[in-house]
Amino acid sequence: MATHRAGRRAHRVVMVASIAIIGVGIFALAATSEEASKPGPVPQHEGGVIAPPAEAAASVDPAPASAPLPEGVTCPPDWSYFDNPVMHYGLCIPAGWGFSDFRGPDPLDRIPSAMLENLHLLGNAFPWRPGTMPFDAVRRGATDIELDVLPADATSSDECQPSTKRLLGILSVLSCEQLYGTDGLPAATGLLRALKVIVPLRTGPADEPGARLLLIARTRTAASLAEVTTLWQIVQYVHAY
Amino acid sequence: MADRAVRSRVLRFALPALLVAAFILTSTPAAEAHNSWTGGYRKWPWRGSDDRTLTTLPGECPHCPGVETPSASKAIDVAMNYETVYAVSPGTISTFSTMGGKAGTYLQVKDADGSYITYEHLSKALVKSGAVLAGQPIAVSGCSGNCDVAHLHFQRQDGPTFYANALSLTPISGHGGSGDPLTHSSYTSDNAGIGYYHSGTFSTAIQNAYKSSGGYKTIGVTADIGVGWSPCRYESGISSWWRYGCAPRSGIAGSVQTFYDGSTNLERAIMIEDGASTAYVVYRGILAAYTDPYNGHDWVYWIGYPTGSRYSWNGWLRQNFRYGYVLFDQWGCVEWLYIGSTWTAENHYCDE
Repeated sequence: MATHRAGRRAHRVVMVASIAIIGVGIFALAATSEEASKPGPVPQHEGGVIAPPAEAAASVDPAPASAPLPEGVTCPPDWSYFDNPVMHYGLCIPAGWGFSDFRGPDPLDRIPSAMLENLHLLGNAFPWRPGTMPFDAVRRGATDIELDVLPADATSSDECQPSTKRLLGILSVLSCEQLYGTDGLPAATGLLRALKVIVPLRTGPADEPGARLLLIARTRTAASLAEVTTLWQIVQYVHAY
Repeated sequence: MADRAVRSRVLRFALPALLVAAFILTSTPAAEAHNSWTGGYRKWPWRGSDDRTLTTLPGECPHCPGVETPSASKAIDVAMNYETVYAVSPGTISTFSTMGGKAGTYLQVKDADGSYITYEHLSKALVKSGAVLAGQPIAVSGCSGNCDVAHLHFQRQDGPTFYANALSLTPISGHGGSGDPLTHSSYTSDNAGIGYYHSGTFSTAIQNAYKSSGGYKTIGVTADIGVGWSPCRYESGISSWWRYGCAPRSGIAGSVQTFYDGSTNLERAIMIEDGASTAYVVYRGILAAYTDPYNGHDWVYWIGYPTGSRYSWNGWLRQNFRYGYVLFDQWGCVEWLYIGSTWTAENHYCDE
């Protein structure tokens, strides 16, 4: 048995050597072959595929909720001005409105840089009661305007697409309206309505070329004309730079 | 054994010489061969070593029945304040949406196992389409949609819509039994894929093994060592995938986690038998044995889990296992596998 096994081993040595020679030749000719020799994982470097931007955004100072009006920019009387230095737009804010992270009763005085691409501007909502779900507050009469970054090639696959063109002064925007059921999903009827508006940006965030500003203004479906007018005024006074 | 040693020395000198000759003849450097399996799973979608609290557990409101859509009934909310979200599994992005409704901005990845994993309330997505790898940064958490504080909503489902059926997260969290990390306690993800929770016996053993090997550069596959390198699952339950607790055969239950060594970036594995308090590093040369079938099963079925670390023995390297041992000749790139004390098979792999 031992002799037989030794014989098989000698054959195997020759075979392995021959295969190795042929294999090296094939590799030399192909030069780029990456055929798998054995199933196994490809090294994946945590954080190495794309640089996590949350840490990068942290290098920007918090933005004050109220900033001086730039030269040539106007807001309605008694409204304040907010400058978003990450997304490069300014916004006029009605009196009594403010930004919130939903953690405290009062509007934020300063906006952490990490939030600047996903803001909530609330109206008729202060003092805010932490723990309240925003959709519940909206159904009770609050207004929640979400200000998000919309990548150049992004769409909403499961609800209305802002495609209706509207000219607001010199600003040309796309908009649509969507109703939501009690489960918060798109529905034919519902107590909650969102006006979605896409506003073009001149510069946009540095890490998202071609991005636009997406405003999602959520109100009661039965919102008053005055409330709706205020929403459109906020959109109209967006100042992209 | 003496014959084998002689043959090993033949291999030690003859094979390298032939390889060098072949190399000179071709005069062209050989391309490096890579493994191409693109799988790999993580435990949680946040950075390993960070403490995170699960603020809403499966079945709890607002994910509770009657309030939430079916797909979210087994979801979790994780306290993540505008932080990088990592894909837990390889797959393809099936949906990127800036929804005005409850989910806000969300990403959905179709997992290699056919399920859909959804990451909601994002402030922004870093990728919007195409394939993703486990551990790839895919988004930044936030508070879009119906969100009362910045967090990550994380769920699995059996279809792409919000009305699909919810799938359990226990294949991701662990065994789903006592001590499962799906609790409100602050949880540190080792993202090692093994362990009941971060201070549990399994996880501690795994962490110690990582430390003993000099740390890891990348986590690879947590595998069922039953057949090939498929994601981990019980053999008896095809529909219930258990990525982090494998029981290929009654009596040899345990887990394996592949990784890449922190200093050399070479493939290694950590193996631990169920009930054991120590996990052992298995080097590539010996690890290779486990992916080779023998009598219809991979080798672990026959030889069991390691009972010690690799050590020098009579000019070879040896590692003992529950039902046998493996000798490895690192110069000849040969492994000899023994069941009990009987030589049963051999493989040819170098230790890299």
